[in-house]
Amino acid sequence: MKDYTEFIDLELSDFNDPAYEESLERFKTKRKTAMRDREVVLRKRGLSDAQVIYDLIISENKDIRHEFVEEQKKALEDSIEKRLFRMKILLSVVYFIFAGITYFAVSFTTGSWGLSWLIIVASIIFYIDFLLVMPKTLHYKGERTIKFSYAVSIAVMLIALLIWLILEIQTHGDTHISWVVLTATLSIITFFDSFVPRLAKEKYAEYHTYLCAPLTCVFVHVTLGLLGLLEWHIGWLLVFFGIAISLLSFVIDTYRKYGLRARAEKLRLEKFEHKEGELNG
Amino acid sequence: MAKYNKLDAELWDKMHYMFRDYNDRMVHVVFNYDYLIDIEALKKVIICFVEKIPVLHSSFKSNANNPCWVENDYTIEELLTVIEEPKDLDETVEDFIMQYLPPENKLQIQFAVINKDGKSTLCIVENHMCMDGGDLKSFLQSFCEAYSELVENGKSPISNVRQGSRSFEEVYTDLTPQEKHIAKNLYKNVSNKDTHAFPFTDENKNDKSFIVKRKIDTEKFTALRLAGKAKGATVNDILVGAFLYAMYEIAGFDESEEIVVSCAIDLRRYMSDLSDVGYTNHTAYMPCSTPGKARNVLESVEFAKISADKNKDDRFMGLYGLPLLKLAYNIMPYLASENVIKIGYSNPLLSMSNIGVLDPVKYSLCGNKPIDGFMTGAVKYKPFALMSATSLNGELTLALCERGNDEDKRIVNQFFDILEKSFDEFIELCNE
Repeated sequence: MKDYTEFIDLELSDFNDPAYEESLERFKTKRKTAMRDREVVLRKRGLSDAQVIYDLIISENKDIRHEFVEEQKKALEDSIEKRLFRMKILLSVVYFIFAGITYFAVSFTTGSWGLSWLIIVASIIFYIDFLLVMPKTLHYKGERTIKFSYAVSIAVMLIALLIWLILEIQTHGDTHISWVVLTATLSIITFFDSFVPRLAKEKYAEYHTYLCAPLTCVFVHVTLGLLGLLEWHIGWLLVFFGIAISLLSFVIDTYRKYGLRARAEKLRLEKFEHKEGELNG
Repeated sequence: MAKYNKLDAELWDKMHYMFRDYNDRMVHVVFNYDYLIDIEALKKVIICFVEKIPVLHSSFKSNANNPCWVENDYTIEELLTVIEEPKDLDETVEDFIMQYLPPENKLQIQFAVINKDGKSTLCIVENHMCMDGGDLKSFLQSFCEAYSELVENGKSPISNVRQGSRSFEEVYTDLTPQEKHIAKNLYKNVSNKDTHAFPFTDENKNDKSFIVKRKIDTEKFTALRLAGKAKGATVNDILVGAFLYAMYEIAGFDESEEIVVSCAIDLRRYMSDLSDVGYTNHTAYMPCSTPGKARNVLESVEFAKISADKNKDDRFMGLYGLPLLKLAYNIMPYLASENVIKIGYSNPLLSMSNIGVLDPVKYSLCGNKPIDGFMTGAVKYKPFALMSATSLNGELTLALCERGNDEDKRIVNQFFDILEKSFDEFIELCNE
């Protein structure tokens, strides 16, 4: 069996930094073992020429330097992630301990146990909101699990929900004011969602307009109705207005796409040079 | 310990797996050499190539949600069959190349060397899911080159193998951004829905796979090419024109009926550099038709040329349908998408694959050029039929592989007789 030590040592000879000595040795040992195992497999499969085996295995490991660098990078990233995760857990624990202390302190001093639990609810909502909108670098591997625009919408909705809850408790559910908070918030969210994706040139932005334009009008209609600012039987017209905007957008978008098709047709009519005779398959 | 990796099942892998209802997915190659192949050297080349192209020693797992290939262990004895001094060479060759490799098989390619009277015949059967005729030609060129370099210079057969992405999206790589955007939005079902078919007998459980070949000798093929050149027709135009003309006669179609034959086209026309593209399928079909039965074969070739030119004028020929297939496979689980695609997809009843010229120099082993040979596509199940065409050493070989009975074989032979007559007629008409 061939010894791959010489090849491995030569390829990785640039890595002289003592900081990498241990990981380099580990990498070399692991790789040498893998290459020897590969030789066993190839021999079992019927390849008997030692030189061909050696050349084949070397060709499969020609990126060994790059692989070592990638492995070190990944190890460093994993170590940073681990530290970041531990820090996040610690800060979360401290945050909730603080929230708990605040809850008990307020409850004992004011005696209003019937309301003070809202501190816990608010803490949980603010915590979730922070997780949703915190900078990308604090997320796992620097990637958001939820698109930022959706995350902001959810965060805003949760705040609105908290305000609704507080108002419901304060007014004992006797008025519509608390519900107005929710419908107004939904109006604002759907309003921005109907055109911001287009400005951001997002994929499928047009579908946001088609859906959110009528929804915005529905929520505005409900909000104004609840506030008594617009009669319900007139406010329905807003919904039709929203649907009309949706349809108009669809027509404009289709026309634009048609324009793209016309350019495609033009390109198709251009002569395409092809090799004489051969249409292979 | 060997590591058994999983490989992604690409779009064309899934499509060719779907074609299991229409054909046996085998691509066949036969090369006859006036030379005895060094079996030990061949074994080394085979193993190195199969190791470098992992899909060739993988099984296809058609999982309901996400199909994939899984690499397998194997031995060279399972890959290569060596037969010494068979009684009947042609029968032995046909028996070997007509074998069927299920996609679940641990190997997707089989080699055979049949030695008789101091000469070797190299036979290869390969799963079309792994690569099409175009890439198989390229694979074989590299294979023969590697063999020669090993035997003559002792060079290990490792650098000749192309490795890279097998994704269908490689066809878009060399397009301009605007062309790419247009090509990726060509949502169109371009299936050939023509119902004209070969007049085979009905399917029967006793049907067997067979291959019918017809050789057009060098003299006639040269005359055919020159006659075509004089009329501005390519070999492909002549083959399509004659094919369509012969179909009217063999099947008795009404003279006023339009017949469509789907011609295979190589989508590698869109790729300028293949060096980092893996072996895979990049084949589409273009429909070629005749509005009715032509007055003679010359007119039929003219119809075929007009039809082909119309397709060739399309900047995006062959790229239609790919975005639709991609969408179907992406938005639904695999099992559901296959069933949905089958509803919209119509497999062509009549098809032709002009695999092209097999340059004997590129397929020589240690300077020994193949003295004869051909490549052919899959065995089709009735009523589907595919005629393959290859040329080697100036000779044209037409082949049709079908699963049928003796009557079907007789029909195919009769078809080839009509085709040969059409070629003679074409040469005569062009020389008038």
